Amino acid sequence: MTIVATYNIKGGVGKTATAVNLAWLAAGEKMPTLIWDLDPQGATTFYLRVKPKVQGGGKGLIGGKRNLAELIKETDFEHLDLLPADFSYRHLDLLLDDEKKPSRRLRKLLKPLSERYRWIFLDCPPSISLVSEAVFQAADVLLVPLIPTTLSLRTLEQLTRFRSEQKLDGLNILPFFSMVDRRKKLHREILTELPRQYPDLLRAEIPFASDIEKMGIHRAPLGVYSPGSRALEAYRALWREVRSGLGPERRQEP
Amino acid sequence: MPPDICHFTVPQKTTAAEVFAQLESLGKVRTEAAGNLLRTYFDTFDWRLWHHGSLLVEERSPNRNDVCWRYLADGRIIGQLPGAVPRFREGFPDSPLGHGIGPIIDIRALLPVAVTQVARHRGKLLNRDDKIVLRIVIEEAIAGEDAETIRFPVPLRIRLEPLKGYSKPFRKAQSLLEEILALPAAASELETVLEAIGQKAAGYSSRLNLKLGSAMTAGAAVRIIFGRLLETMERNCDGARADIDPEFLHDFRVAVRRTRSLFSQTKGVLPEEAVQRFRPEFKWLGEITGPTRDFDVYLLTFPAYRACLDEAMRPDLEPLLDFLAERQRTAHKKLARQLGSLRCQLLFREWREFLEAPPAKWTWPLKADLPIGGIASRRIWKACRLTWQEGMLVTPCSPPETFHEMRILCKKLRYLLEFFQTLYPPKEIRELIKILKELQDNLGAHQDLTVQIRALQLFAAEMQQERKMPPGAAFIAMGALIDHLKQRRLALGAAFPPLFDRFAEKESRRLCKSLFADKNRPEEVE
Repeated sequence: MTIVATYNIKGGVGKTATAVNLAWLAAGEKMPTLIWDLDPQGATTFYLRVKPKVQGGGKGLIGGKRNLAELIKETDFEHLDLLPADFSYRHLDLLLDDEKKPSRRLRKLLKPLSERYRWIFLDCPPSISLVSEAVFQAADVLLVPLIPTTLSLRTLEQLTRFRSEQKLDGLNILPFFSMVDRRKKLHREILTELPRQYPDLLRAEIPFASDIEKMGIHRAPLGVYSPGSRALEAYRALWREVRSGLGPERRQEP
Repeated sequence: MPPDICHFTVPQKTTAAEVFAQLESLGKVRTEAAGNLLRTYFDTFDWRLWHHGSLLVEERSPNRNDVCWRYLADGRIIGQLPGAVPRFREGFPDSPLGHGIGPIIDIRALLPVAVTQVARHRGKLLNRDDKIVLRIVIEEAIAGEDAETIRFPVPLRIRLEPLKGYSKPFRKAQSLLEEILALPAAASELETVLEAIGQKAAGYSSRLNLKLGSAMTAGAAVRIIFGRLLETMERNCDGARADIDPEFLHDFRVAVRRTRSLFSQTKGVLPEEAVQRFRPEFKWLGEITGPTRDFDVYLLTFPAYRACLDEAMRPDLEPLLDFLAERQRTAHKKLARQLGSLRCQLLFREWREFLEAPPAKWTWPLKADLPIGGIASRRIWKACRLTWQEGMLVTPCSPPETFHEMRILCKKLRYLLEFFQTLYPPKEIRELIKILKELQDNLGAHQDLTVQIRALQLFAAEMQQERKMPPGAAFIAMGALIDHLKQRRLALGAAFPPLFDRFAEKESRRLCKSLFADKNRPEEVE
């Protein structure tokens, strides 16, 4: 079992689209895959046409009263399951705080699923909080979508600093560019500059594409309604990089 | 836990469209165009997959060919592969399916047992969000024993596949099918298909599966046992002639040996004329089947031969494999001719006529009217004592002949226990057979090694005569192999005493005495 969290302090950077599309690609390879929608907004849950409701709410789940496996919903796609969002997740920080060793709680909850799933994707809410800490402890990989703006650099710095402060040496942070619009000069400049400073940046770039935005209309992963799209190709390239040893196709200096 | 997949069959004439229409009452049903496929069911001759609780099918559709291994009870997939079902386990690619199925079928060939031509209809029940909450598969099929005989209609089969987290729609559909359409819970898919073509699963077993009563007369009992053994010979004869897999000949030979053993163990029960007529014929059957079986064993053991040599030496053994394969082919050709001969056909026919003839037709000795219980107990008790007595004299250093004689004694005892086991309490008999089997395994392996060592020495000489190998490398490899086999034989000899002690210990003797000694004859057990 490998746990991949799609995370960014900022919202609206493409975390949910990344989680849904990569999970769909993983499942397409017949690998049992689960997405846990941790965001109370429940966008992942919406995309997969599931009701954003968890029996017993976040309290039952975090408190361990509910067995995680019993709350899982099978999606329309073979090998892809979902642990839906619930509006009560907005209090997840408080619920975690009530537990012993709160930052290790998610990892503990997910452990029994290790036999069942090859990949678990955590779609995280944007913030840096106790939930984020618990996600960092639980995840093997933090997949960080970055919009090519000046703020991206700051975000990345904050994150890497946080990792060393928290001594999360085992956490693999994999940033990649998301919502890339090559028509914009700023995007082009950052796409050239940032990889020089951060050689760990993945090579795949997810374009800013209306196809991706349409996930909300179709309520399905991109590959279902737009199988030949450039955006899907970009997700495939990203998935290849994530899957193949988490980064062998690293960006090379031109 | 999500509910399990459930199946229904519809005995009356109903179409898939009608079933989907019924399910529309639960929500929107989205259907796909029907897919056509040809499905062939495979199992070994002795139904090993069936006994394991699984079934293996090959599905051919216009654009693909799949092998699918499923659980019998609920049709859940255990493993799947693209391609065709191979005849032997070695033909499976390196895959979980191949690894899983290999030990079950072992050396047996996979044979087609039924074929169906299927129109598969898939449907999905959707909720208000157009989310799939239940999958439905309906199959309309016609069946046959093979592709040429497909014409027998199979009852419509419906499969409801629940989705995790959506048990409610599943239960609703289940109730609807049960209540509104009044559908019975289904038998397994294979059973339904076999029933449609007038066949039954697990129609063959190499086990005796006899049901004797201790008050039954000896004459009646031996006729039942001989009859069952004849049936085994007849069922395996064609497979042995065609050399489908080595187990046909093996089961055939075991039945011949058991028959011969029963002749000797029930002296005075059969009419003398019949003994004179048939007994030598079964001896003949034993003799003609021996050479092919020996070569079968060498070929089956060959991977083990290879494995016991150093890696560098292994290729040097290949000429031996070619030699064995050629000899097996020649021996089998002769055997196939003999098994198809008039002599063999007459033997089976006349032997059956004798076994099925009214007792009055032959002059049966008085002993034939005695209850079998007493005769069986006396014979088994005698065989037990003889085995204990002789076993005491076997030491790890005893010559191979002594081990061989001991092996024959144990085998005779084992046959007796198997023939008459239903006359005794099952638990105790099973325990006794288990202990005896461990001893037999040791003795069997010891004797096999003795035969193989002698044979390998002989083959080396013959191969040299026939100039089938360069003398150097292959000779050295075969010499190393013989040394290794001798070492193993020594180890087996050393392992004999503790195994024998277990069989001969006080508790086992007490058990045997209580089961077979006169005062506790089976009449009283009953």
